[in-house]
Amino acid sequence: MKQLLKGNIQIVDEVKDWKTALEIASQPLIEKGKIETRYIDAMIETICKLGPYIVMIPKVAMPHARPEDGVNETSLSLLKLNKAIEFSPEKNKVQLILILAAKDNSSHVNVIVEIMNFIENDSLIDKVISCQSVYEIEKLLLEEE
Amino acid sequence: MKILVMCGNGLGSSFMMELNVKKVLKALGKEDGVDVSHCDLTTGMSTEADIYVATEDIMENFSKDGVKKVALKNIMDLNELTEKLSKHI
Repeated sequence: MKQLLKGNIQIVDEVKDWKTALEIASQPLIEKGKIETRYIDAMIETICKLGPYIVMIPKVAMPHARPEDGVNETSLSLLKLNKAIEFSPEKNKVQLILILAAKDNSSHVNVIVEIMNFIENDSLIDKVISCQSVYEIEKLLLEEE
Repeated sequence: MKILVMCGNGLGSSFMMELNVKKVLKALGKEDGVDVSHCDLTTGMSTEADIYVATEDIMENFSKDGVKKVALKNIMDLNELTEKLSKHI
């Protein structure tokens, strides 16, 4: 997970809505050619259709779509928002957006397990949220086991 | 017994939930003879299983009637999963 996140971490103060957050979070992956812009549309469409199921724990959203929706390479990016945004009235405290793009249905399995270890660690999530710079987040995550 | 975990796309959150279901089954000592797999919501509609697991959002869109359902608020909360799953097994 750390390798995939390197160079793809951003901090933004605030955004007007969750769609904008997704677009911003996806930028590093678009710029590096890991995903196509239609992947962003696919993620947004799924959330509009099925609701914000990608907010799996209160402060973290993990938007993702299918490999065939425009993934060139399995990749991951993280956007930290200083001001929490709302995906729905109940899911309104999201500050971390983790964009996941899997090239096929099995290559990302290890990444998923690592992401799980990250998101089940409440104190680590809070530490990331309290970081003021990308450098701090990188130091925190790249040093975590 | 077959447990099917579903999510919007069948490759991210459903896999995480599958891993958690397996953890909970193990903790309850009930993993023998239980097959746990994951898929997306559409596939889940046409797949037979004894228990269906998904987040509340996804479960709202799952219109199969007369089947056992576990709807989760927080997929990483093993207590919630344990409580809701043990009602059906």
